[in-house]
Amino acid sequence: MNAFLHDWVLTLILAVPCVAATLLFLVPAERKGLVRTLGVGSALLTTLLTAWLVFSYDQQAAGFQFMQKLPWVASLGISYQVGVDGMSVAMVLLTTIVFLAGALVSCGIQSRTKDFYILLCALVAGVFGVFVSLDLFFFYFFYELAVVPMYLLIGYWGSTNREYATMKLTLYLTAGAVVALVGLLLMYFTYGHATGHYTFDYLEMKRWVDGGAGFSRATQLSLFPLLLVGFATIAPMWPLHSWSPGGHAAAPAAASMMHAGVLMKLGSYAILRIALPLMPQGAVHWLPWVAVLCCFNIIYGGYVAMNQRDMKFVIGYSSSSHMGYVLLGIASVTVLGTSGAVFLMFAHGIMTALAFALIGYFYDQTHTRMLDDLGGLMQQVPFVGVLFVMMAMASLGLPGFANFASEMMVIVGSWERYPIPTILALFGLVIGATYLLRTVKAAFLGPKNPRWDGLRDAKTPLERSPFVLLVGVLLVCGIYPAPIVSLIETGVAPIVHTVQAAQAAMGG
Amino acid sequence: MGDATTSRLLEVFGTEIGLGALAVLLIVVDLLKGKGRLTGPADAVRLTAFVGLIALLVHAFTLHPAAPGALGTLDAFSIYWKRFFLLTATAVLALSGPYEARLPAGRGEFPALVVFTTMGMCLLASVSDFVTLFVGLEVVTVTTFLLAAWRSALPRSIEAGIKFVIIGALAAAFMVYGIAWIYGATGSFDFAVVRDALARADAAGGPSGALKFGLLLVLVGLGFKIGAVPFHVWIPDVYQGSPTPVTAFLSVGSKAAGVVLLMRFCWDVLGATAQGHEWLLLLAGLSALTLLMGNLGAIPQTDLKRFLGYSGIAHAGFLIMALATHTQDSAGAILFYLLTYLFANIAAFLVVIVVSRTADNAHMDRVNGLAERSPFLAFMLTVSMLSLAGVPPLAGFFAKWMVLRAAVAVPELLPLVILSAVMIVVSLYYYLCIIKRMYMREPIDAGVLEVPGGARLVLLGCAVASVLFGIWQAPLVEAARVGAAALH
Repeated sequence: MNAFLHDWVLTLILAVPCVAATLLFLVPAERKGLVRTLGVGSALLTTLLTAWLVFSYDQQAAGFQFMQKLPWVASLGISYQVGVDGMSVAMVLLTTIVFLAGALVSCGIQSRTKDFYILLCALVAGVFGVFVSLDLFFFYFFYELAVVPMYLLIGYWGSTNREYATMKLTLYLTAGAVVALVGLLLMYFTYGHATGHYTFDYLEMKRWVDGGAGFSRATQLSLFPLLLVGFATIAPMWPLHSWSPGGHAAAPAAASMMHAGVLMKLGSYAILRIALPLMPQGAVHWLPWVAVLCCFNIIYGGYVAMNQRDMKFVIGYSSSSHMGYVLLGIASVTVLGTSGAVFLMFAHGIMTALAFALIGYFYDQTHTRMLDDLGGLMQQVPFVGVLFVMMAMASLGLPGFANFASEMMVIVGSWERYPIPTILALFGLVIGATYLLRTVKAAFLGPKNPRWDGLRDAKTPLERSPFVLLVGVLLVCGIYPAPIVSLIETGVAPIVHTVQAAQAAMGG
Repeated sequence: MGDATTSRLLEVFGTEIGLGALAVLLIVVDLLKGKGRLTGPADAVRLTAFVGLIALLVHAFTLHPAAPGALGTLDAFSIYWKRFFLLTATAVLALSGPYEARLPAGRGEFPALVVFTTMGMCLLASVSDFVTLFVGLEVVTVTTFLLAAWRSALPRSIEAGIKFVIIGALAAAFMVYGIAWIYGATGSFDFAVVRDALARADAAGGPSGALKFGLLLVLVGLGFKIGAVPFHVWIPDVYQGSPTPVTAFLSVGSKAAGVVLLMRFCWDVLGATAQGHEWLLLLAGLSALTLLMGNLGAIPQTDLKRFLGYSGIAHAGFLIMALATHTQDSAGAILFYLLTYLFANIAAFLVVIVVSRTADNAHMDRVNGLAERSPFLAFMLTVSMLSLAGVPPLAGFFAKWMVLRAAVAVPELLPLVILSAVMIVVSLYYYLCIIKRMYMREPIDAGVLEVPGGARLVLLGCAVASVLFGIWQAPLVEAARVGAAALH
C-alpha cells in the first residue's frame, strides 16, 4: 500500500478533483445535497492524501520525491512527469487547505450549485497540476487550465462589475501566459538545438544547467524577462496588477479564496521553479529590477488599499501589497529571504482565504461591503467579527501568526542586498496596519447599527469549520514555524545556491 | 485504356469512384421515390447517403499507401485527408437532419451534392499534377455554388451563391492562368517535374520570372479557397447567406481542401524553395495579415455565422504560419489542427442550427441565456468555443501548441510567433463573449429548446473527441506525423 501510494500519491491528488468534476457531471443538478457532498468529499480526500504527502516527505533526503514519469507524446518530447520538493509540498498543502475551506463555505451557494463545484474542481486540478508538474508542457497545460474556470466562476456567481472584472482578469492572465509560453518554447528549442535532444523534461534541462553547460548568457538575458513578465502578471507585480483587485472584488467567496489564496501564488512559484534555476545568470541580471518594482507593489498597493471603501477592494489591494514582499524575498536570493517569500506565499494564502471567506459570509446577508454602510457588526456577528480581527492582526504582521514570521524572514533576508527596498517594505507594514485597523474599526467596531440586527452569525460547526481551520493553520504555523520553514528550505536552498553560484561566477 | 491504367485508377481513386457511384445511386433513389416506385422512410435518400459514407469511411481506414506512379498519389497524406473529408461529409449530413425542414424543394438532391463535393475533396487529396488539381477544385467549387444557393426563396441565399460564383470564378481564373505560366516555364503539369525544375533553377541562381509568376498566381487561387487575406472578402457574406449545414461544410471541408492543396503546393511543388527567404516572407506576411483580419474582424460581429467565418479566417492565419514554418513538425501540426477544428466547428454550427430554428436567423442574441434554456447545448457550445480559443484540456489547445512549437524553430518567424500569441489572447476575448451571452444574459426567447436525438449524439461525439484528443494526444499526433511524413 505504502509503495503504491509512494508512486501514485501525486497523480491521485491530481486525479481526485478531476474525477470529482466528472462525477458531478453525471449527478442531476437538482440533487444539491449530493453535489455538495461530492465537492466537500473530494476536498477531504485530497486533504488526507496531502497529509500523507507532507508527513512522508523525507526532509533529510530533500530534492524531488514521489516522482512518477510516463511517456505521453514521445515524438514531441512530452512526458507526464510529476514530483515534489519541499517548496511544492508547501504549495500543495496550501492548495488543499484553501480547497477544503472553499468547498465548505460554498455549501451556501444555491444557484447552479453543480456547475459551481465542477468549475471549482477544475480550477483546483489545474493548480495542483502546476505545483507537481516537472514537464514544461504539462506545467503550461495546467497553468492555463487553472485560469479559465475563473472566468465563469466570477462571471456567473460574482458581484460588483463582474463581467468587466472577469474578462479583464482572464485576458490579463492569458496574455501573461502566452508571453511565458513563447519563452518556454524558445527555451525548449534552444535546449534541443544545443543538445540535439528536444524535450520538455524540466529535470533533464535542470541537470544540463547544473552540469555547467546551460543557456548562453545572451539567451538567458533575453529569455528571462519573457518568463518573468509572463509569470509576474499573475503574481501580480506592479504595473501588471490591475486585473487583480477588481477580480477579487467581483468573485464569489470561494473563487476569491482560490484566486487570492492560491492562483496568485502560481506566478511566484513559476518564477522560482523555472526561471531562477534554469536561467540563473538572467536572474542575477534582472532580479534587481524586481526589487525596485516590488516597492511599488508594497507602497502603492498599500496606499490604494487605504483609500478603498469596499472591503474586498481593501483586501484586494492589500494582496498586491503583500505580494510585493514575496517578490522582494525572491529577488533577495538568500536562503532566508527566499524561503521567507515561499512561507509568506503560504501564510498569505491562508490569511487572505480567511478574509474572503469572512467577507463572503456576511456579504451574503448584507449585500454590501461598503465600509460606510457597515459598522458595529461585532455586536451582531461576534464570531465572524473576532475572526476578522484575528485575520487583520495576522495580515498586519502581529507576532504569533505565520505572516509575522514569514515577513520577518523576508525583511532580514533582503536587508543586506537591497537596503532601500527593505526600508520601504518596513514602512509598508505601517501602511498595512493603518488600513487594516481602519477597516476593522469601520466595519466591526463602533455603536450598534440597528440596520444589521437580523444578521446571522456562524453558529453550526459546519459553518464555523472553514474559518476555524484557516485561523488554526495561521496560529500553528505562526507559533511553531520550524517544521514548515525547514520543509520549504529544503526546496528553496538548491535554487538559491544555483543563482548565488552564477552571481559569483559573474563577479557580482 | 489498358488494364494497368484501370487497376491503377481503382487503387488510387477507389474512394472517389465509390463516392461517385454513391451520388448517382442517391439521385436514382430520389427519382424512384419521387415517382412513387419506391416506398420507405421519408428521408430514405439521406439514410442511404449516411450508410454509404460510413461504409466508405470504414473502407478508408483499411487503405494502404500505393506505390508512386502516374495519374495520382495515394500516400499516407492523402489517406489521412480522405478519412478527414469522409468524416466531415458524414457530420454535415448529420447536421442537415435538424435543418431539413428549412430546405425547400429538391431535398433528395442535397445529400447527393454533398457526396459529389466530397468526391472532389477526396480527389484533391490525391493530386500529383496541376490538371487534376484544377479538375478536383472545380468539382468542389461548382457543387458548393449550388449548395450555397440552395434556399432559392431566400434573397440572402441567392446573394451568397452569386457572390460565391463570381469570387470562385475569379479564383479559378487566377489558378488556370498561373498553371499556364507554370506549364510554359517548365513544360509539364506534373508536381515532381516542376519541383525538379525549381531545384535546378535555385541552384542556378533562382527561377525565372515566368515560373515565379505562375506559382504566385496558383498561390492566389488557393488563398481564395482558405480565406487568406486579402482574398477573404467573400467569406462572411457567403457564410451568412448559405444554409447552415453548407456553411459548416465550407468552413471545415472546403477550407481543409484548400489547406491540403497548399500543403501539396508548399511541399511537393515548391519543396526546398519554400524555405527560401522570398517565400517565407510572403507566407509569413499572408499569415500576419490573415491573423489580424480574422481576429480583429470577429470582434464586432453580431451574426453567429459571420462570426464563425471570421474565426475561420483567424484559424487560417495560424495554418499559414505553419505553412511558412515548412518543417515536418509544422506539417504534422496542420493535420492535427484541422481535425480539432473540425470537431469544434461542427459542434458550433450544429448549435447554431438548433438555436435558430424558430426565427431562422443566426443573430448572436439567439444564444443569450442558452444556459437556462438548454444547459446541454450551452455546455457543448462552451466546449467548442474554448477548443477554438485553444484552452486546455481541449484539443484546440494542443493544436495551437504544436503550431507554435514548430514555428519557434525558425528564428525569422519570431515576430510572427509573437503576433500569433497576442492574437490568441484576442481570440479568447471574442470566444468568451459568446460564453458570456450564454451564461450571463437573459434569453430573448423563453422556453425550453428541444435537441433532436441525432444532434445530441453528434454534439456529444464532438465534445468527447475535443476532450479526449486534448488530453490523450499521442494517437492523433502519431497519425498526423505519419501523414505529414509522406510529403516531400
